[in-house]
Amino acid sequence: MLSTHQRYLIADRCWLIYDLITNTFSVLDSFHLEFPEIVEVALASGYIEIRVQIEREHLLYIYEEYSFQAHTIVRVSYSYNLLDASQNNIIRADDVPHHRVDYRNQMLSHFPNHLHDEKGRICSFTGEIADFFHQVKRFL
Amino acid sequence: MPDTTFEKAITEEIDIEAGNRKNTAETTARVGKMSKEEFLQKVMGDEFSTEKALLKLQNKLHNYETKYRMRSEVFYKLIVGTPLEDNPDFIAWAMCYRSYFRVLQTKFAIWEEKPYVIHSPEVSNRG
Repeated sequence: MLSTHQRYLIADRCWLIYDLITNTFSVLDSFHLEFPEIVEVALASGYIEIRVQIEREHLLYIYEEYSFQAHTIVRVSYSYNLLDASQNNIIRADDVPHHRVDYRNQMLSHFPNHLHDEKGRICSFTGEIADFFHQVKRFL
Repeated sequence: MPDTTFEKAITEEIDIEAGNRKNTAETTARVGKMSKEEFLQKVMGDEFSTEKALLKLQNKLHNYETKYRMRSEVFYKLIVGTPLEDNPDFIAWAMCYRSYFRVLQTKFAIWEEKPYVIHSPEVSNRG
């Protein structure tokens, strides 16, 4: 079972994501009510799955899995997705280590983090959720 | 003569309705971004339910299994670790599957392990 400290670390990370989403995009009121329940699963499992409608016509799917090392939280895996109203992926980012170079054959700057752009091409990506949101804003 | 029991019951009912309306109004008024304190109070103060988390994860796994017509354990053995894994659904499915087992392990954890006692062989004093 996760300790209180570990649960607090997860809650803190979830808050950061919530804060970032709500500060960057306009979301439905229901998201504010649903979010604590989403976090409840994360506190038990170390895995968060957020599906939120942003700016009316787009969807943002955020998945993160956590682990702990010496009293600190570590994001062990993630997948960030921007989808259109028909649930087709526009851009997405993850850290699955199956790409080493980008579409121009350049080494990924932050391997294994990479981004699949709107044309499906592999691009370098920092792995930071804030950077993903920055990319998302280009499509809104 | 007025039926006081009936009047009392009606008054109580009105009070309850008024209370409900007040609660709904409060909830509606409070919809909007939570402060960090509010958020932490909500999520850390709630009763911690492993069962609830397991059920939700099970539902998610079931949805993936139905969509791809594949059992999660088969998916994990066949797809995870291969280039096919680089698909948004598969990445989320793998995370969900690992998390499900993490919670399951928690549920069946042995809380009080008995110390493993090594019995030293008896020394027999011969002679």
